[in-house]
Amino acid sequence: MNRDVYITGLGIISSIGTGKEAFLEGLLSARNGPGPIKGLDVEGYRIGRGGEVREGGVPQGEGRGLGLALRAANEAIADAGIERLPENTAVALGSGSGEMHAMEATLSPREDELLLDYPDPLQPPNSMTSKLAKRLEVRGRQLTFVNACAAGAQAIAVSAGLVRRGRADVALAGGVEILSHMVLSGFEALRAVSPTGCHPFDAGRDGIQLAELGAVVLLESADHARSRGAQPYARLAGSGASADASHVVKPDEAGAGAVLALRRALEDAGLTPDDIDYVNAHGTGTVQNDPAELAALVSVFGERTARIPISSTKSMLGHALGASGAAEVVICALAMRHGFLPPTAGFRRPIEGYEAFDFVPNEARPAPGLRNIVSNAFAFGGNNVVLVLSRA
Amino acid sequence: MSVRRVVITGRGVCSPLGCDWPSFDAAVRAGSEASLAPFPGTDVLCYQLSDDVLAKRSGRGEEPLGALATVCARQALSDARIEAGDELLDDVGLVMNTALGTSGAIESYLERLRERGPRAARPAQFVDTLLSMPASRVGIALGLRGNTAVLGGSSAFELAFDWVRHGHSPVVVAGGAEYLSPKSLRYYDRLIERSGAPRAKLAQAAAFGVLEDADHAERRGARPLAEVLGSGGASEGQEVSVPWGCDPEGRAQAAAVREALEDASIAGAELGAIVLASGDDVAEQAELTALRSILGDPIVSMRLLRPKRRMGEPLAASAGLALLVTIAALEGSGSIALVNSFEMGGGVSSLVVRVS
Repeated sequence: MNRDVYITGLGIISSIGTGKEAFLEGLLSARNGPGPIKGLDVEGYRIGRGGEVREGGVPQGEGRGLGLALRAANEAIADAGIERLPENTAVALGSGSGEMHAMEATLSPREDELLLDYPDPLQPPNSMTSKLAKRLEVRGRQLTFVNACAAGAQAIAVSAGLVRRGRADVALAGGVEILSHMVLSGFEALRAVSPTGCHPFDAGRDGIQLAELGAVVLLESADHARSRGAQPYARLAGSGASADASHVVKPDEAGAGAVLALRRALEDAGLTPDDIDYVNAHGTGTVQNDPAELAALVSVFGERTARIPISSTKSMLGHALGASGAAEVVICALAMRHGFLPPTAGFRRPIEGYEAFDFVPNEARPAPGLRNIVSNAFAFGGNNVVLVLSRA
Repeated sequence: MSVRRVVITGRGVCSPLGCDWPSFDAAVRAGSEASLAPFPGTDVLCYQLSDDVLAKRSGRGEEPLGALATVCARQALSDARIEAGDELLDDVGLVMNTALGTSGAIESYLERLRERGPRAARPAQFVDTLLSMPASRVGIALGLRGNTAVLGGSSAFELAFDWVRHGHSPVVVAGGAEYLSPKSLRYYDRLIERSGAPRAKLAQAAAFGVLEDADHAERRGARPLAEVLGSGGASEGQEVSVPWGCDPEGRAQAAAVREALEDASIAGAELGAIVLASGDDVAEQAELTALRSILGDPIVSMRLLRPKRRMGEPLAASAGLALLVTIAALEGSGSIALVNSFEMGGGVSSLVVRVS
């Protein structure tokens, strides 16, 4: 069995907008989400900035991850117009740190001060997925990916495989990340956070802006979508994964692992490099990641790379780690539906050696007729996932 | 894309019953049972590794879960006769499960954060907390550049089976590892106490298998230890912190078993053995109810293997250990086995394998 897989529903809750309409408006106006963090006490931090969800109705402490996931999943279901999910609906989430507020509460105290009667003390990331599946009353596979910044993209890639091969008719897949002391302090310790803002592919780039968000897409087989008259945003045409097998933090300078993932994704989609109209880059805005990603793109797309629009939407949302790849699939689906290229916001001057490249600087651009889009997600430790979206 | 036959060509294990294949194999065949002992620094009983395979690494300050996983994945690759530097490694994938994962590193990091504040955070210590990092360390140590995934729970083998079967990778190293940590153990122990029912004690373990396209294995002269015939999966909407809350009807397990048998195109009567996912009476009753609903009463005459009764609940390593117990127990029989696994949180999966 090898069925086409359609994206028919989108759900997103983020610092630049909640719900696809507000989110789309944020993208089209190059809105900048991150700013000084208000939801956590950041006294003592060097920077203390991030892209916060300031929407009501999502718990601020424990349960925030599930709250974001549930909100995004319910939006995706409503957007797809499905009244009742099939019982074998698969649920897959990607997250780098999961429900970290609960882990901070239970694992921070000294041994003699542990909160042993805490109601829900052990919350590894798959706890969010199981609670989500329970609340949605579905009993298909539940999968949780923790491949750091590639996790959300991989949740979507693997879920698409389940639908493609008839293991599920419908899948809800995406990513969730919350801002926590663990994540903020860790990335500040790594000197990976920019004090001013995220400037991907810019000569003056100096780091990421952390962010939280929930992003879920509803995937279904083409036949299932047609049978109920659903209008797809795009077809999930293929995916590829790889590992750098190089370093725990630094990317392979030549992007060797990323090249493997890109080639595997194109092959899976049955496309060639010439078929790609736009690349939604991983584009973290760090000194080392951006040139490694561009080197990988040049290896795969050759001279044509300079003519392919490449943008990083982390310039608006910040870097939501395990959720970022899922948010970028939502962005690519909106780009295909509405015919535009999302911008690289905050762009000043191009990264050295790539002056002729089209980074879609600062303003969204009309692009009717987008056929095929590549979306990259490259994680710490060299975990790479590439997705290909095609016009349905 | 054509569908491939998938065989298992390598085994790697470190468990309370042995930290290499010969000792594990001998212990399984002898029906040995591991012993409970307090986890260092606590009074919580658990099953611990039979050899301190990590002792020689501790001086280097390596994060123990990644080190344990690397030891076992290396064993599995070596058993499959794939060695360092082999060109094939660019196409060898890795799917690894994690449950409590890097909780020891997280505990240490959070203690320092609480005591000394965010500016005292150590970058290397933070990197060790990342849930994906043990798998990254395996990939880096062994040079694996194929399709890679890290999953919470215990469904690594199903994904690896899918990737090989559908041509995404010719070879995938799949498995999981659990090292445990003092605070997580104490919380888990209290959860069991609160449940009011005897449940399986946790175990340290790692178990990996090498899944390979059968034609690929044959071309390079690798020996097939077993063939994976089919898989199934479902969930029962359980919450992670309610591990005793399993559905007494076992409906999710039944759905997974039914799907796995259909996927393998075999009838229940062809099964020679069933490897139970349960480690205690409460869970086993639910699992047997599920099996009876699919297979009928003949299960009473089938060979039932209960690995968790002999070496505890190894969480992320449980699916791998179950598979390796199957190979050890049935080697040379040509029998078909149903291998069930169950994760905290209610995800279940079943594999159907024919042991060579």
